Amino acid sequence: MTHNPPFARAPVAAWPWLLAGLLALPLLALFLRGFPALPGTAKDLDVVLTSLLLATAGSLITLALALGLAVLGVLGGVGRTLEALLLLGYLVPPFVTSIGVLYSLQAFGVRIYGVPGILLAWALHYAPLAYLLLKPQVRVALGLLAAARVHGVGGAKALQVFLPPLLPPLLVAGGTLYLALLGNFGVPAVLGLPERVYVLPTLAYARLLSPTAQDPLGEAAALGLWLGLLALPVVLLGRAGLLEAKEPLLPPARPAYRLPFALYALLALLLVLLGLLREALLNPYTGAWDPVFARALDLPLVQKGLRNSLLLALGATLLLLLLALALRPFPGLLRRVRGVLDLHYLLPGTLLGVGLILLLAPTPLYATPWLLLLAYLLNFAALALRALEGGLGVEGAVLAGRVHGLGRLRAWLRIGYPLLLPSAFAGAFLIFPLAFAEITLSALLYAPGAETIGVAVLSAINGGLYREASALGLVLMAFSALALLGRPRW
Amino acid sequence: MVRLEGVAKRFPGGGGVLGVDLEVGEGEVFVLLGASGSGKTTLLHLVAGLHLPDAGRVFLGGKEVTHLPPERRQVGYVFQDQALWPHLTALDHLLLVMPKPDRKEALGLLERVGLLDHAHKRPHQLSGGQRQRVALVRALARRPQVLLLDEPYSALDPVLREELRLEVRTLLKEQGTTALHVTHDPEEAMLLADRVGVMSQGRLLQVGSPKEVYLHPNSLESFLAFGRANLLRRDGEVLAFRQEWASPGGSLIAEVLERRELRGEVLCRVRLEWGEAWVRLEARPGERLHLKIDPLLHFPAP
Amino acid sequence: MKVIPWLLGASLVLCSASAKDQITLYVAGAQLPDVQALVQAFNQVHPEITVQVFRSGAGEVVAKLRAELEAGNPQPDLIWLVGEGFFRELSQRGLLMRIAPTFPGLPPQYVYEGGRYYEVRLLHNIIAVNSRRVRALPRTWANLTKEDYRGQVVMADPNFSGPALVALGYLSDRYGFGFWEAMKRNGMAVEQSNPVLQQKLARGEYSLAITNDYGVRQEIAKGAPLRIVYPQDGVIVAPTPIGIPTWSRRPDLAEKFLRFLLSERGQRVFVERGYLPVLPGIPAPADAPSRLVGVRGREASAEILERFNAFFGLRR
Repeated sequence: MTHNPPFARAPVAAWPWLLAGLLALPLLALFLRGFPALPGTAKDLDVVLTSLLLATAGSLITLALALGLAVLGVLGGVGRTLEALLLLGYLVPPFVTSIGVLYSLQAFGVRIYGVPGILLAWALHYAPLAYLLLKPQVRVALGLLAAARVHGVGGAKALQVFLPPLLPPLLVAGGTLYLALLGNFGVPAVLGLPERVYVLPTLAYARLLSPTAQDPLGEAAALGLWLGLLALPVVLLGRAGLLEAKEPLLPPARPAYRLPFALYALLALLLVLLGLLREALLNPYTGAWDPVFARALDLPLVQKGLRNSLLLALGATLLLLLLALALRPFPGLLRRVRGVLDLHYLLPGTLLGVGLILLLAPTPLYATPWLLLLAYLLNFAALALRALEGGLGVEGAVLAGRVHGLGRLRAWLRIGYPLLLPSAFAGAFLIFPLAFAEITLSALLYAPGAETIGVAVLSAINGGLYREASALGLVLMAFSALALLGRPRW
Repeated sequence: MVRLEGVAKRFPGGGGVLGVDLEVGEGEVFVLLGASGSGKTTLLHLVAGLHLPDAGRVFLGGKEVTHLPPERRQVGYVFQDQALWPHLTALDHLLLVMPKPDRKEALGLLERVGLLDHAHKRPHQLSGGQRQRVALVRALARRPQVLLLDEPYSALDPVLREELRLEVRTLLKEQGTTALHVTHDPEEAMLLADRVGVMSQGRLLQVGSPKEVYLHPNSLESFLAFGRANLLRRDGEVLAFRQEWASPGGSLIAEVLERRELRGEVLCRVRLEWGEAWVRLEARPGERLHLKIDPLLHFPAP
Repeated sequence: MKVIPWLLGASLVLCSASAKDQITLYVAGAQLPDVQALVQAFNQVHPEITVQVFRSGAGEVVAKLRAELEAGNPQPDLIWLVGEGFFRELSQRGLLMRIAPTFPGLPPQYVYEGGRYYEVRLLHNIIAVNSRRVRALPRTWANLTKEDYRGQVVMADPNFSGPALVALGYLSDRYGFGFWEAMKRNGMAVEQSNPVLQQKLARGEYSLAITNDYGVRQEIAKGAPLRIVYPQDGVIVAPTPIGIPTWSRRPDLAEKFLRFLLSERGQRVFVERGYLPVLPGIPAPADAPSRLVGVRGREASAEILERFNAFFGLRR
């Protein structure tokens, strides 16, 4: 009838699919290379099992811990400062938590390598994340509990009111934890490798660098496929229904509950800090005061690593948020691309890393920070998109603008983007620390010229430079604390 | 001014509009009355250009606009939840939508709705009623061909609601704006409309002046749309009459069960041969009396 | 949309490669601070040349290099490893550049294959002892199988560490695989790498270690309670060749680095870090015997390594 393209329909359908396909190439390459090599991994099935069991056990332990903290936090009316103390544990990179815990317990003569160490470091690092996920749901559940009490339901019967509504959010948080633990590289690298306790990410890394492997890339790819197999069910499960966020009826805050919360937060922090401080500041043989910060920061690997990590994290954060903002007005395109990007984020980083090696090792991108930037962009894109989700409020406001005569571009520039700015800011605070302390991808894609601070710390540990590694860990902790100061109200 | 020809829109989840023909004259205030899910909001969206019809054509001011994007249609829209922009002041709202931003004119509009002192406030600093007024003048600032209103008072408390709707009608008539107004409240329809269209399940059932549709509904749904309804079943058909169509005298026997007073009216619950009904009548519980119901409408049972 | 960063990256890399004077060094058998000391001293003579370093255990360096070769994109301008095996392989494939042995004072036994690779410092496998935990010092390698040292001996993973692979080879040759069986029965532990086990030894987690000498000397200098025992049945010299591959984009700069290592200045830096020099006339590190007769070791064969792996339950 008319030849104006209808405004609500997405642009010509072919090229979003092409883009999605392009983005999925690393995973495709991984599959093609790894599938034929799968029979060769028969000898590694015990590691597959270990990965599964460790991730599951770790999730359950961390979940229980976080639930307790959430209950204490809500009942005690914990304020922002106390929460910040707890959250610091999450901003500290997991591998720094590992070495901190390792050296702290070593001072008491406790050897924490292997499974117990891995579980401990995971719990300490990820509990705050689960706490954040569970807290709003626990608030509502406690409100339901209060309503039950008003109706005379108490004691064990009250749990019937309290626990079932919490099951979906517990599952969601548990799923998030499971995926994070399954794909975590830093903690098992520090605490598992010396004890020869392997999980799939560290085994893939070891295979890639192994002089005795017949087909290092193929075997690493196959192990990546196993990882994907373990992760996929949870990824596909999707999001269960969460409780409504109406203001619940809560009993007044009891300060008594704040004490155990504060104690935990403090102890968790000290457990990490003490070991690091001891190693970094005192000579291990004579006990004399001998800070090694200068020595640590003198290493060229460290200097380049810090510089690269900073630039990469800043660059990735900026680019991703700009990209997310640019894509926001195009929901159709966003949807198609979103699926692949979600995979890159949720699936363990090992898959993306090995896939990128397969695709790009022969190119000049290899051994440059640009390859790492690409890896970070692919890995964290889903986060940026999620940060800007902001609900239909923004779309509605933009539509209101268009109805009132503002052209599409103008509506987004004057109305949509200003409304999205706070979300973008929050997203930056989410992505930057993660990108800065990233180690899974960085270790796999590492070559001189592409070093990051995470790799520098790992190299230091592998090179026996425990003291320098601790000093660097403390520097990273200081960085994380800074990020915490600027955190917006979540 | 607004003309819809055979406009239809289906949604995968159900609902939508099925083949509607409608014409709204210049300066007319036309109210679409219907329950939620009747398709009235969809129809509004189709006029605004927020949806594209599956079939049919849309005309504004004599020009076909069926495939034009919303910003080219020159309509004004007052949303149910106002959809104000949290980061802009009331004045900025007007200046942003005006094709030629004119401060004087904008302030004049604000003054017209009594918001001159609040011109530099942001939405969160305004009350519900004030926000709704901002939404109204924002829509008018463009001098739209037609003003579309989507249950604009439903978020407000009843007292404010009444106040505002009368204000809106006065303003519309003053400016001579053509308006298409959507509501589920029959009282609102009767107060505001020059003409009313009853919608149910995506169809336009009846169009006419409020009095016409009130007194002479052409279907059960049209009847029900205006409330104050009594429905009784008898042998496969439905007997329908409004509360005020009953009067003493006549051949029907009724027993009074309950008496209530509402806004200066007395309503009684009576038992008739075919069931119970509420009628506007002065009587006492326990009384037996004769009733006349005129008109007593018959509709086939659904 | 993503082609742009690729193009940008590629052009940047190409520009940087030609613009800066830069070489890449892949090294095993030296710790990060050691390499850094060498590079810093080198930059005092040649401040315009940047040296990028990748350092890890010999096993990992070789694996990485193999992967890069397979992808057709090898990075290093200089390769410096422990053990000759990989170098012989490269030489056979014609991938090593021959540098004429015009180094003043260099004894000919340190020039390999006519100048295709060189020895620039001496690395020995010795027995390191934590003097706080051990009274009676062992005198030979064979002593380590004694009952007194049960559960207290550690060595590095030969899959990862070059010196350990040489030690494995030499001791298997000399005493047969039975030596290792005895060590396993005596509870010998296998740690990831030499630097790591040296830390653990110094902190008292172990009492004795089969390990390399320079790292131990460094820890002693820091105050660690360690002593070096030079076994009477052979101080194992692990060959640590360095060479320039033919794919190097700046072989001229790489040669400058090699020359520096074999110069008096370079050799002195080695001595400071606890290595023994190859040029005569440079004094050895303080606590090393003035005349040290080492036995030249050879890496273990693949069969021996596999047997060792299976026996000790090592997996890679």
